[in-house]
Amino acid sequence: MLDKIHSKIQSHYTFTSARPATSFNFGKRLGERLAGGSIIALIGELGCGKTLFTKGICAGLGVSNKYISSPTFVLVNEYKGRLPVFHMDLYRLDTITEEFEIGMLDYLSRAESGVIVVEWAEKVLPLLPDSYLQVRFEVLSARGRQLELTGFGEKFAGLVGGLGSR
Amino acid sequence: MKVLGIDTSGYANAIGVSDGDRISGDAFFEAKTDSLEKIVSNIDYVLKEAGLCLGDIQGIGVGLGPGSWTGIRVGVTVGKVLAYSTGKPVCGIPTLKVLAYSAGDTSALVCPVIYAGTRDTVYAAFYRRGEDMITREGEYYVGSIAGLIEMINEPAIMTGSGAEAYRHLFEQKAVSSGFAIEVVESVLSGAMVARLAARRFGRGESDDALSLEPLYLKESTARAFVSRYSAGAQAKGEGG
Amino acid sequence: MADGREIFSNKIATQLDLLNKFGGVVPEIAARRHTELIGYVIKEALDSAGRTLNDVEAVAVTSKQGLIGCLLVGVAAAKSLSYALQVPLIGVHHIEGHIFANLLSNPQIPMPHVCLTVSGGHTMLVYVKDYCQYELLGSTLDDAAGEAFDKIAKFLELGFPGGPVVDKLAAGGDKKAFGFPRPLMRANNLDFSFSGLKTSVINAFKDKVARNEKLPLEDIAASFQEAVVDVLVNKTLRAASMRGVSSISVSGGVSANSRLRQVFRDRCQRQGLEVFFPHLSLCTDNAAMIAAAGYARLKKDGAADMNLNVLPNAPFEV
Repeated sequence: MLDKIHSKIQSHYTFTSARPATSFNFGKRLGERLAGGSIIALIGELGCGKTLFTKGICAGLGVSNKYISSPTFVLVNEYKGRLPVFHMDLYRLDTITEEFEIGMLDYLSRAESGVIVVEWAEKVLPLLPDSYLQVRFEVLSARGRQLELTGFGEKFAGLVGGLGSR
Repeated sequence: MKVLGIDTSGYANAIGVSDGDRISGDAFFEAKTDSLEKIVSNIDYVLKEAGLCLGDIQGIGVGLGPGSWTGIRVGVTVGKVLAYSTGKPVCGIPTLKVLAYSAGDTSALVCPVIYAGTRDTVYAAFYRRGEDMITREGEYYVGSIAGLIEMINEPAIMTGSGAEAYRHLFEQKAVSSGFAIEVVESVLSGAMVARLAARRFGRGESDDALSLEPLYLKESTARAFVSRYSAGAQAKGEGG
Repeated sequence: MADGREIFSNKIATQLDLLNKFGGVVPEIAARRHTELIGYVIKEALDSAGRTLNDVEAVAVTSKQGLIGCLLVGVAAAKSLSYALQVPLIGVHHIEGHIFANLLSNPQIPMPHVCLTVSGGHTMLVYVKDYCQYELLGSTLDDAAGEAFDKIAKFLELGFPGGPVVDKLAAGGDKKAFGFPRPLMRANNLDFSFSGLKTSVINAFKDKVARNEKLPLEDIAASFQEAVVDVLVNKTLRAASMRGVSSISVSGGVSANSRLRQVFRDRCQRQGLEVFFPHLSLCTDNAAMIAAAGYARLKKDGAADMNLNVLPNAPFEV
């Protein structure tokens, strides 16, 4: 309940993907390493692969692909993997107040037990705790992407640092 | 007057019944992830335990929040629709006020504190006990716990879920300031909601069921997070 | 339901014996203010039907599939009404509501038939064996068709909602100008996928920009729309053929699309099939369809208990 971790601790990792399947598999590796209470913030333009990456994360958490779809319209999808997953999509929201209205603060206070993945997370940064993982997508070409991961807080230092090794 | 009191703002269903000076029923049902599922069962249970049915109820009191936005939504909707469909009057009561009254008799300043869910942000207000009622001093507070503590400059009683959570900070303040700051446990009481509603009914007051709205404190909450984020982001050199 | 259709037709006239409660995807402005507006909505529904609370015999509410904040308010209100009035409560799946939207508009749709529900939040192909007897044949693996329309419209800065805007713009464009992919078209399943199409449109647009070429928005809209329509029509007809039915029902917000209606009508006529669309007011989310579905469910399964909960991601079950 209390955020004591300072985001001054930052860890970085850059991943380049030439094909969608590579992004998916990277997401899966990440998902396999996630602990409860993880918030993953996805930032990137339309079509950069946020939902695909989320599918990868969910695969790593043991959620079957057939349950996962875009939450753009429903705003939040909940899945059951080895941890509960809250898949959020803030595309349709414009203000922080609208985020409260969909129960964002309630989800954040429930985060301890599961994993929250937020698409279009730039809209919710003021509400996130000091410890979370940010993934920024850059479109390099029709299918190529570059993913910039920043782990805020000690919790993610180990995770991000360990991504380099297989 | 038999009044049913409901408050679902604190990740629980608080249901109670007051009858004049008596409390006929008061129960608290944990509902961490959703108040909705059991809310009607909970109401039915409390009524039955009091030997009553919904038809015996003459007025409805509803806790308006602040607190869990999802929870408040359930309680206020149930309260207003029950009122509308039974044709009975309804009164909305701010949750912080309910907590203030629940802190017990004291001449000190009472400050109920509710945790907002993230980033050490709380809802709070200061209440002063008068002859037979408690009055709020100043505006509702939404902001950092640190900011709230700075505002305390006399003996005070802290209560509510947020008070428990930050007990150590209040103890530190008591030591550094030299005046008594006590943390008193309180549980949100549906019966207290009912009593406070009964008082308003007694004065001939009631709220319009159809237009009854929660007390979300939307603008203040948005400001509290955004302004601190901008200040913090500048300090840390974060993008976004 | 032995006399299913007849009882049902009668019920259309007196459908407000079921008070409708709705929690799901609603027009943007109302979406945020469910708690504030729900009381007014209930009163309005009764007033406009010339009824009072005493006339309500049962309460049907969307409890499965939708935005959790909206579902909560709908079910909270419905439960309260049901408890206060001591009448049965029925929880309805949003998609079943859409299936009934068409049955309300066109009571003569035969059983069995195939129903395509296509909207901003859903793209589902269902085999409707009989009232309240369904089999899910296919659904979207990523974006819903309506969502694709909205995102492309926003990307091209055409405005919201995307469907009608793209529909209108496409009328003046060349649907063959761009050869956008028809995702999963040859796949031997009946699922849909539109996110790849969305990316293709975005890439084609960026390409034109990079080459400093003119941006033919009408052609892009027409070609994109044609790709979506192609996939929706072909898969639905394939489903009808696989199941040996000769009637097709299309519902949901995207069913209002003029090109979709035109292509369905042409293809169905050529193949000797019947196609049905709901009245325009019933295409988008509404509570009348929920009442209709609720009535059928009440007859079949009986009432829900007072612990009815919401399931925002409920799968569409048989």
